[in-house]
Order: sequence, then structure tokens, then C-alpha cells
Amino acid sequence: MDDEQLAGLASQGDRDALATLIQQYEVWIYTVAHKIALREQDAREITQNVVSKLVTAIRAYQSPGNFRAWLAAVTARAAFDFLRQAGRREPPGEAVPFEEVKEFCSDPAPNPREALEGQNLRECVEKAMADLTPQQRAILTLRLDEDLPTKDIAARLEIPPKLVRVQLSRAYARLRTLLADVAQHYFPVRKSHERDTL
Amino acid sequence: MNATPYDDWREPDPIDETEDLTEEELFLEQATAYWLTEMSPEERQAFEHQMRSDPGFREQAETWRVILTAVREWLAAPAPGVISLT
Repeated sequence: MDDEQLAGLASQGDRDALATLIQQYEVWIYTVAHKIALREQDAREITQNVVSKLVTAIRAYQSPGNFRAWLAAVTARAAFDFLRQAGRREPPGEAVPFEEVKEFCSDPAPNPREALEGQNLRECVEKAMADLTPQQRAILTLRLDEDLPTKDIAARLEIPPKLVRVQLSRAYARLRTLLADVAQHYFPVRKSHERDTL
Repeated sequence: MNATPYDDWREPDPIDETEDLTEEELFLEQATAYWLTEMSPEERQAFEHQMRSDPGFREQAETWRVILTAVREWLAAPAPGVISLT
């Protein structure tokens, strides 16, 4: 039985189907929560909140649909509610000021192995993501990990499409400001088209 | 800590509601749609024409592709720590 079938059953009150879905997705929910909250303890609490909410929220799921995208939106909203209630608007403790991130990512100079593995680039992405707001990280997750269009994100998060569009665009611009140098350092711009898509 | 314009989740920010995207933001929106293959054939053709005719535009689009790829990989990567509720 696939996830959509399980979600359909769960939305009709089948507790075994819901339990199976939770078992299959709890690590994934935690991962999404961590990408937004950036702290392990917060991500655990958000995951617990999502699982608790699912018992009632699943009744609103319309099958057949996109269960994973639906669950990502539920997680994103839970993450933001958690961060807002906890008053954790500031970046996590390990985040560094914008100018330091920019400087760090403008002058990579790692050893050859780090360069090969793109380790420095990953560190820069992590620091750049920490520079965004939780809302921007949540919207980016839905846009770039779930490939949802702006209108879908707005509908699922119950916020205006214009707000999603603006937040997304500002997040893009911030990421480009922070990551353009390091991106060019590791992957010099190609002279000819090797690939046409991501 | 002072509130930022983005602190509230569901209430639209009045600045966001009225403010247009900058030229850079519009470019990044378009380039994202291009690399995610979400453009219509006409839009795609126009974007590729500009990439062919404007090396600077192309370099910016290619750099954004690298950044998008890195961010998507980061988002898809497992998170540190463990969770086990069941």
C-alpha cells in the first residue's frame, strides 16, 4: 500500500494507517523541521508537535493528493508556530553576523580535499540559511525541496501569494549575495551548456 | 531584539503587499523557474536567447544554478541528531 492510499485511509479515521505513516515519515519530518529551526532540540519538539497534530489534521487531507507536500506544509507551519511561541526569532547560537558570513564565503581557500568534497560550500550554505528568517527557510523548503509553485505554497501555508513571492525573492537575493563568490570558486561558470536543468 | 518585517507568519507585511520586486529579485525568480524547467516554451526560448546573446547574463544565470543546486542538496541532506517517537 502506498503513502497516498495510507493517507486516504488515515483521513477516514484508520489509526493503523496513520501509525504506519508516522513511522515512515518521522525522520523526514525531523529533517524538515531542522532545516527551518536549525537546532536539534527544537526540531525534536517540532516533530513531536507535528505528530500530535496529525491525529486531527489528517482528517482534512484530501486524497488523492500530494501527501509529502501536505506534510511538509504542516511541518513548516508547526515549526514557525513553535519558533514564534518560543520567541526564537534570532538565528541559532552558531550563526554568525552577515558580514562575517560574507567574508568567510568570499575567501574559501580550503585544502584540496575540502574543495573536492565541496565541504566549504556546504558550510557556507548552512551559514547563509541561518542568515534567513525561519519563514524564509520554511518557504524555501517548500519551493526547492518539494518543488511547489508560489501559489501552492501560499495556499498550504494560508498566507498571501504576494508575500510568498516577495519572501522567496528576498531569500534568493540574500543567498546569492552570500554564496556567489564561493559558488564560482568551486564551480567556475561553464563555457558551454553541459546541462540545461538542475 | 527588534521585530523584523517578517516576524509574523500569517499577517501580510504591508511593505510586502505594495512593494515590487527589484530587478535582481525578478532575475532570480526567472532563473529559478528556468533551472527548475517551469517556464513555458516561449519564456524558455526568450531566456535562452538572452543567455546566448549576453555573456554577463549567462554567467549570472550559471552562478545561480550552482547556488540553487547547493541549497537543494543542503535541504535534502539528512539532519544531524536523531529522532525516534515510535
